[in-house]
Amino acid sequence: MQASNTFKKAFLKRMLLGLQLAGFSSKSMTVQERKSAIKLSADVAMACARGSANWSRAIIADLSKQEKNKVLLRSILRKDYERLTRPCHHTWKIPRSKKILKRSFRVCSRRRKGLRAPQGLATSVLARVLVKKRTRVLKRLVPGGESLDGSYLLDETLDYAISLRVQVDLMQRLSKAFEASKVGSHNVCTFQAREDSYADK
Amino acid sequence: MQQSSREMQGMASSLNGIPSSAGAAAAAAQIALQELHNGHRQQQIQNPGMQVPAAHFDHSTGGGEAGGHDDFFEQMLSSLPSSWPDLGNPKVPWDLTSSSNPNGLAGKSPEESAVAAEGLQYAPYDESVLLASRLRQHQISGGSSPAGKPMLLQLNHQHQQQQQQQMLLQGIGRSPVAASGGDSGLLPLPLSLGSGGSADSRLLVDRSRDELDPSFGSNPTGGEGLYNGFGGSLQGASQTATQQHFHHPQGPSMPAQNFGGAPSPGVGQAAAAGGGTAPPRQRVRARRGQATDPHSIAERLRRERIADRMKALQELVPNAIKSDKASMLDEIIDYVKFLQLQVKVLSMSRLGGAAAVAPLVSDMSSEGQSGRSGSNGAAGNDTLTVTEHQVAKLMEEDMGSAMQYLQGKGLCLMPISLASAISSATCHPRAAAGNGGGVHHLNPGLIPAPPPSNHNNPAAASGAGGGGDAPSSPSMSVLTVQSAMANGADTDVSRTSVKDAASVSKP
Repeated sequence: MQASNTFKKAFLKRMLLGLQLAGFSSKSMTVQERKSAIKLSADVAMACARGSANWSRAIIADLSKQEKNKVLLRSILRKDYERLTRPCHHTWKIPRSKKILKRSFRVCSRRRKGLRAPQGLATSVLARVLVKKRTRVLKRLVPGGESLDGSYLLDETLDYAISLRVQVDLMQRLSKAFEASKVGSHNVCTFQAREDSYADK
Repeated sequence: MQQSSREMQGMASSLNGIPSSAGAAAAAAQIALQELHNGHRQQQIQNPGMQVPAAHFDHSTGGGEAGGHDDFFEQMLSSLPSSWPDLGNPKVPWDLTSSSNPNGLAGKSPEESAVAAEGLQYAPYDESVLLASRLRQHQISGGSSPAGKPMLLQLNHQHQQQQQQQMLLQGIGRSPVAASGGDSGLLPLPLSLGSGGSADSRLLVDRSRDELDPSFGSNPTGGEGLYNGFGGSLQGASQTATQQHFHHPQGPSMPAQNFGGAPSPGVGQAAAAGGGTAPPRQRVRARRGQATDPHSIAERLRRERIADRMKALQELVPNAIKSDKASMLDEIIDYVKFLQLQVKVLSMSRLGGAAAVAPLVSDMSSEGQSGRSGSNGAAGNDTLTVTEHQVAKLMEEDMGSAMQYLQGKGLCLMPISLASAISSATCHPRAAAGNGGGVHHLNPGLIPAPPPSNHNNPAAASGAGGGGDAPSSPSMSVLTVQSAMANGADTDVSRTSVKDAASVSKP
């Protein structure tokens, strides 16, 4: 699609690193723990590979809120950890003077009041309400989208959707690869041995 | 490609070098890397034209991604000149002004300077101002279509030195757009510039792109349209060198007004008006039926920007043929939810695992609880988790009751391979059926026993319910899929099929 090879490569590298560091052991981990660990490493890898984007920072910030994830995060990200957890003020938004904004709001609201009288149609109002409702949902979906608006939100959504697609694709391939290596050895014992070897790093 | 293969090799070897005894893991990683590599190669062969849009990802990785930067530059530079033959040899006149450009190049961000340095020595803004004035005079005097070369040669002698970085950006933003024939390959250009450069430059390039895109189809030749636009836009502003700030807000607004209609009437209008107002006027000449105050202009720009983003998202989301903003947003939301769901599924079944059904089911139920009470950052798909929860509970007790529960909701369980087959076979559009009542599948997936006979990729597919063939493996593969908006036809199909078949075998 529109994702670059560099992104995919960085993603894969981080993901594998994260998986190794997560310390999988076949016995001690429940499926849920394993699932959360995999998801964590996948998300972190995606955010890290993307670099500096609103949603990627939001993902990392959310994940590092929980103490247990912090160590893992640090080891996966290493030097990028500092860069990505730095509090960044919105570089996307153009700094606007408050006075000008207030003036323009006044003018716009005045004009809108004048315009609304002749319209009187319910469909346009309904459409606007629907759009507002849906943008609210979208804001909740996209990480870090609460503070964005309008075209910035759509930008972030586009970016996020592309990265998600890459993530899904990559994880599918990885699972297929692991499967292939599993099927190659028809023995359950060797499979468990592999899991153990995976565990002790 | 060489570079990418080398990097893959390097990565694989580095992974091997990690002091871990996980030989199998490394082998698997290598296999995955090779697969990725092959996949990339195929993708590259398929859409070579999409290399340029990859720019913004390259930019944002930063760090030691010098190779990425070089790729991006090469791709940008190689793609741009190839689409310029219709400009009628623009390089020659511009080169005459190359001596005046080094100052302008110094202050720019890397990619613009690279683009400019490559051979597009765009003159500073006043160059185009003079060009425009010349054009206008030419047209007023009833000349034929302006030939770029001779007029530019005349202009070059008279230009003054005005270093306008923003105007340069605008010029650069315009000319590639004009040259490339308005294809959507330029869409990522503002994205890349925005992520790399300042917000201002991004905004400017956005604006220029926004204005030129909608009207581009009406231009007979790219170069001529560009010149016409400049001619129309700079009517009152060609006289003095002190109107720099005036140009900046004027530039985007006036071409927007001019490009709406056909170029020639707009230019004729502007020419007549320009001939009339000799002293520099600070007022913007309005198109018919359009307000001129900056608020409406800003609103219009904002709306155009949003429309562009919606168009881009429309291309991204599969099977989206909506033109309406509300339904398009709906599709986008569905798609993002679907992708997030897929990630969840994949992370559950990754690395295989000899998991029996019951532990997983209990995990699902406990995860549902903790998910709801814990993080609120997840999507608000409450109905989904509730249904999941229910089915998980029922499955623990008795498969039959679970199936009945699902059937009551109009859902069914199907093997994963079948679901993926169906979804790939029938990519049906999901028309907005008004209310969301309809096919509502649960989320995926389960884990096969160690010797699986069917595929394990829990590709969550949005296919209709179907099939009745049970998986031959003793394990149960449960694939459920979520589609919040169902097509009317799909709903009927799935409901009837649910009544017919029970597609799950007991473990």
